[in-house]
Amino acid sequence: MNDLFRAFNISASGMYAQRIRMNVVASNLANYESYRANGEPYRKLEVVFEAVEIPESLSKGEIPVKVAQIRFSDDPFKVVYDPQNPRANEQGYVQKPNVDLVKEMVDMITAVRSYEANLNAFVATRDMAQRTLELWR
Amino acid sequence: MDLFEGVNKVLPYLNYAWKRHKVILSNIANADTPNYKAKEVIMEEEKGGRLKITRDRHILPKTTDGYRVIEIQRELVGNDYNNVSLEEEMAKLSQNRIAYEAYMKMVRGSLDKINNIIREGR
Repeated sequence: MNDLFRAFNISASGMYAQRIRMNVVASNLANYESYRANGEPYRKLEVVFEAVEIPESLSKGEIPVKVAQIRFSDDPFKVVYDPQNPRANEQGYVQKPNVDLVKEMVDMITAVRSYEANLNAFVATRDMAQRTLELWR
Repeated sequence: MDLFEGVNKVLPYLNYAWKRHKVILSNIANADTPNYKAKEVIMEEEKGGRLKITRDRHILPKTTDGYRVIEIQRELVGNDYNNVSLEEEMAKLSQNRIAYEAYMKMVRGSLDKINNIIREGR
């Protein structure tokens, strides 16, 4: 019986991970032109996914995914020549956050598609579980 | 006389389908996980001879009920060393679901027969 419900957790872990990814994408897009309190440009966040491969659950075929960490990216900052900007250095260059719009949009679409795939799988599990429970009747 | 002979015959296949379903769920959940390798379940009867464990991650611990989870060895699909093909997994998911429902119908039919006998056909 527990086995039946653990299958839901696998899809749920996938949906949760993709939702975290969506949050990160949203944060990156919202802070496209932000600076941190210390004057440094905003650093883009990255999620790191990890498969939970514990031997006991592996033999049962249950491998959920987890968000191992959310880290700051070390991508170089964008540099723009803009002497009028109050943040410009002596040479007149301004550092801008390292958020790449195109990359974020692609990440967003991937996250949505993966979320949908997990949702479809979840619905399939639900239907199968329902079919099993119908044996009671 | 085994009353539940019909059910017992289908049961291994039902278990196999459920286990395969869980593995497909795992593959879909890990479709974006770097270094993840797609998994598949095989029935012991199907594998034709014992497989050797050559690497720690190769063949996973023996299961008691005659199924084994293996890693699919395939060319890289993406540059994150993940070889899950989402389309293939979705196809397997719906295929497996139909198989599961078919097995379930067989169980159901077999139980209905017994039920009919218990109720003396009324």
